[in-house]
Amino acid sequence: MDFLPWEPDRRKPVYARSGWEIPLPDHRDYLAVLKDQTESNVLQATGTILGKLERNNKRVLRVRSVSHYMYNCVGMVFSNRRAWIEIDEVHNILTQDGYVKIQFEHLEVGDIVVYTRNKPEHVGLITDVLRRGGQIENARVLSKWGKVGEMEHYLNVVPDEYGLPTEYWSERKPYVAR
Amino acid sequence: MSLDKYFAEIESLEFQVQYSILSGFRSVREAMSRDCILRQLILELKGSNENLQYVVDRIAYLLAKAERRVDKPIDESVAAYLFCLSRVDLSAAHFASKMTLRMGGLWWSVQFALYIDNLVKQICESIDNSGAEFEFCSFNTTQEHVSSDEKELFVFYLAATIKPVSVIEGISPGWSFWTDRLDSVSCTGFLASNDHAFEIHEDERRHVELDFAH
Repeated sequence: MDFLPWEPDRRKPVYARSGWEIPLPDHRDYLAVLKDQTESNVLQATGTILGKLERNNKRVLRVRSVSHYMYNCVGMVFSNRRAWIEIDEVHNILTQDGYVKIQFEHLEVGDIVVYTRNKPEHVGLITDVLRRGGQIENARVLSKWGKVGEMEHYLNVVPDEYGLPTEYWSERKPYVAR
Repeated sequence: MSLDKYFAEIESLEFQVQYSILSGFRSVREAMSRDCILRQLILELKGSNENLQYVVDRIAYLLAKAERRVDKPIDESVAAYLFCLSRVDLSAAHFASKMTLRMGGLWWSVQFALYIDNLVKQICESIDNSGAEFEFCSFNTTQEHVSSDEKELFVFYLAATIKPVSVIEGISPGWSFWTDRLDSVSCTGFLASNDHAFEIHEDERRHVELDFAH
């Protein structure tokens, strides 16, 4: 899929369930990066960040994919890998989509984790919840790390820049009033 | 003093990747504010027009080098340099932003350049709306890249000391403002014409008071 900067914006808008249109980056900047971003760049950057994590005794479960298409963690979770959406929009999107905040003990597959350092820095999708004696011990998360690859990792195996997993959100019925 | 050690660090893949993984422009700005290397570079830039020029030249060099490549593995480095310049000298940052915007194909750098450009525009508009005419500014530089436009020099002061533009919009004679946003201030004072004289007093580099007097 090739775009040229002088062409009209062929991207489709992304709407929340409420009908609110989620803001997307400027068309020209976005296309310029799309054109120039190469898969080998992304692969190299992914390798570098994984090496840095391993030096801190953190290891991701797997690199799910590496793509030159510009989408980020928010774009992965809320727009099916179609768009780059600023992380500052994540609370708006969750609210407009009807998610509610839940306790860690209620976490299930498909729920959302938000990493914060006072403010949101990263978001991921829960792919597995690991229990021991009925208690949740850990969880697996699928998330896209900025411009680099999409990773599957344990809850706390993320770069320090993301802060900590502090918020869990769900749209499941027991938590959302009908 | 040589800035080469900073350049080597900031242009390393490891440095770039720590910003590549971020998902928002606000996150990048905040992460850069915490970055030890960038804090040290900012200290080197304060009060040294030579070093400021060196960083502007480095941006020009990186942009020229990347222009010949399809991939542009300089995005986060240029963004970091723009960040440092904007903390010390908004005129120099504005000049470097214009160079960056001509390049295209960059992500965080372009967002930084647009941010700086927008900041300058907002402050210039605020100054225009205040009705004051600024004829003199104590900031002097021999650097060719720094615009001689007094408004831009004024922008340098206000951006370095008082970030919220809303404060600037409130400028009127007899008012004074205090700010603790002084992590980047390096100015000593300025004067404006028409019938107002403005001065900035530094207090242990922690607070700035703007006195507005007839």
